Amino acid sequence: MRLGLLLLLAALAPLPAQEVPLEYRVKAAFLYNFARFVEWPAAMASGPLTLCLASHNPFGDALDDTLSGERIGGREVVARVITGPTSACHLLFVPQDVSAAPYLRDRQAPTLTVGESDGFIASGGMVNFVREGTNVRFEIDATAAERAGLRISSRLLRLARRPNRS
Amino acid sequence: MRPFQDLPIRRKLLLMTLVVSTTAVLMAEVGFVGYDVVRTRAEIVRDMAAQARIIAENSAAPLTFRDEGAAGETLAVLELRPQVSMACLFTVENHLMATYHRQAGMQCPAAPPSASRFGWDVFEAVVPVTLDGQRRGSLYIQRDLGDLYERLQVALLSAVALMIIAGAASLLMAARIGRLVSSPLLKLADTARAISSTRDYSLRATVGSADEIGEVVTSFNHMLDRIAERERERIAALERERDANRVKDEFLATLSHELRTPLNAVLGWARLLRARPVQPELRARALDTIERNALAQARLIEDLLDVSRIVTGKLRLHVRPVDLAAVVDAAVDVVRPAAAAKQLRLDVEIPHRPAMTSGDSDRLQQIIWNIVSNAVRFTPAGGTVHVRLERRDGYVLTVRDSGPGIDATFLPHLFEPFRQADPSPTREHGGLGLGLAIAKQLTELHGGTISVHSAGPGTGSTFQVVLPSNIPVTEPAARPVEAQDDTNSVHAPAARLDGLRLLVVDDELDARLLLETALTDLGADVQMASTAAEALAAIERCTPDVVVSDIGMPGEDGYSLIRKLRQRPSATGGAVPAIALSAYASDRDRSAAIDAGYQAHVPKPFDAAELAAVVAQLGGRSKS
Repeated sequence: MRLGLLLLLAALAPLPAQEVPLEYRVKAAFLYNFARFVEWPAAMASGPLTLCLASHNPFGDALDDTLSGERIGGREVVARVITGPTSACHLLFVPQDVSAAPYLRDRQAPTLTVGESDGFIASGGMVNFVREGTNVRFEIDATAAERAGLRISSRLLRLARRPNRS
Repeated sequence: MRPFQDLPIRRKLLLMTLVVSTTAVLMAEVGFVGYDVVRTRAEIVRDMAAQARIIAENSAAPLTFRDEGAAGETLAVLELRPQVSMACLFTVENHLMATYHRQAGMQCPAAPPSASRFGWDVFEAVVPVTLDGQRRGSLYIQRDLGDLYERLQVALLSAVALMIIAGAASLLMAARIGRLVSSPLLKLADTARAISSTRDYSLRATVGSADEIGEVVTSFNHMLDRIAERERERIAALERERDANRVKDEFLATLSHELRTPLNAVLGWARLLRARPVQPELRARALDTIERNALAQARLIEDLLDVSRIVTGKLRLHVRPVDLAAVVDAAVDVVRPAAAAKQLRLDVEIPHRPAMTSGDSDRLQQIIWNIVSNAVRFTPAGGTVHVRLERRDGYVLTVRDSGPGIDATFLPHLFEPFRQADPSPTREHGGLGLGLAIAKQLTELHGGTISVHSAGPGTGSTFQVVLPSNIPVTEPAARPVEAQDDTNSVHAPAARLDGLRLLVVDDELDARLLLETALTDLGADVQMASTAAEALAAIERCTPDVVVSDIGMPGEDGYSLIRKLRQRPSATGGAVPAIALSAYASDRDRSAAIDAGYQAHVPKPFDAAELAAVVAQLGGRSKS
């Protein structure tokens, strides 16, 4: 049923890039929505909200479609692909096939790090997509986010699955 | 027709208080419940809006991240609100994302309603779910209104209970007030009914209170006083009337008896005289008896006429200077024979003579005669009657007898006409019972008083007449020539009428014959006429010295005759002296005759000597 819902969602959504899997379109929407539940430190409170993709863009046009014309708290949202760690990102997505370690080295950087691999939280990441059957869910390590000076809304935290720390 | 108006007051009060109290309670309840419903509705709207907002807020994240589980948990919070029967969370595309329902089998609507609304049994709240001002979906919450209806029911039940209590209380009050109002009225009605059925006007209603009802009862009692008074008056008047009727009946019986008694003697002796030859001695006694009885009857009629005149106020006195002593003597002389016959001592004591005053001597004599003859009549044989006339302020006449006296109960009625102490047929004394009544009236006409004293039966009685010494003269001393009423003159020798030519006019043969015989016996030359026309013709032929005419005649009466005669010249008899001889004997008749042109009036039955005296006087043969 939930898959059906997603399929229905996909069917209703504008579909410019048919080749992008449903999973990534959902993740693109999630990424964008995470930004709504996070407060950055004052230094990052102005200028466009930057969504960085490590190494490459796995979402195709789906992310741009999601972001186009959208504003969060009056701020423009822009997405760009980066090839090395940078502190200019509000949000950093590390795809499955990219090694997360170099991007997670600076634990103090005020960047919400989002991954999609099993060891992402253990290696210092803050948010990690997991799959529950056909549904996309996420784990959050609130401590890591706090350490970086980020405040994640309890509403978002409530939806997070328990990170598997062992 | 008017069912309320005809109800008893108690019922009216009951009904009124019941209606008022229950209406008041009902209105209060309606107002209260209405206000409660409105307030509760507003509260529900407010409460549900707040609740929905909280849920919507908490649903924003689950909606955003399509987390049905989390959304369901959010909705499950509503478990704490027992009135919420169902909640549904819709995505922005109106797909159902999560539901909550209290009872199984409830179905969410296919799409959320556009706005919150109140239904009959549910309130449906619809709020948008937004995130950062962006619409993410909508939340639909259905609240059951059962509790509201329960509350209404309780309110309704309490209203009914209140109405019953208020009704019962007001019924009690009304019954009490009703008793206060109606029981005195009912008692009043009972009294009125008792009075109308028993006619006992001495009954009175009891005044219970000083309020309006008390006033009604008091005025009812006043009315009863008046009615009782009226009733007493009515009964008294009825008794007086009955009494008067009885007196009249008795009088009529007495009158009949008194009129028949002399007739018996007259007729009996007259038949005896005709039937057989009688000795001269017996004949003289018979004639004497006849005359006496006829005179007695004439006196009765005279008395009756007097009473009639007194009653109609037509009795007039002919007041002249008069010697009371002489009048007393004359009156006593009349009764002396009767007193002598009963062997009574009849004393007259008059210390001062003459006792001059003014008055109608005939009437004064009538007064005295009545009292003295009464005394003689009622005093048994061998007794005494004492008459005394003395001068004090005026004149006081005292008549004292040794008779049986007068019963104290009859004393007050003594001077009333038609009254007799013993009206029974077995009474000892005759008479009409008019004498004293006439005496009283005549005395009062003279300005005097009459009184009687009696110490009771067996002690005799004393009559006293007080007359003023000077009675105002109401009529000139000179009067037309009159016949003398005095019965004393009956036995006086009649005047001779030798040579006088008389014309007698009467329609009755008996009367003509009697007159002819009586006047011829006295020496007159008597001519007869039976009608007025005949008389006029006879006078024209040969004018007589005196005309004696009847008044009541068929066709042309005595008045007409004299008027025609007086219109003639004296040569044809216009100035001939005329005497009216009539059974119309009242003062008025006398005046009418004189006015018509007669010189004198002699009443029938006439006394021959009396008539002769008048004829002689008019015919120029008078002694004086």
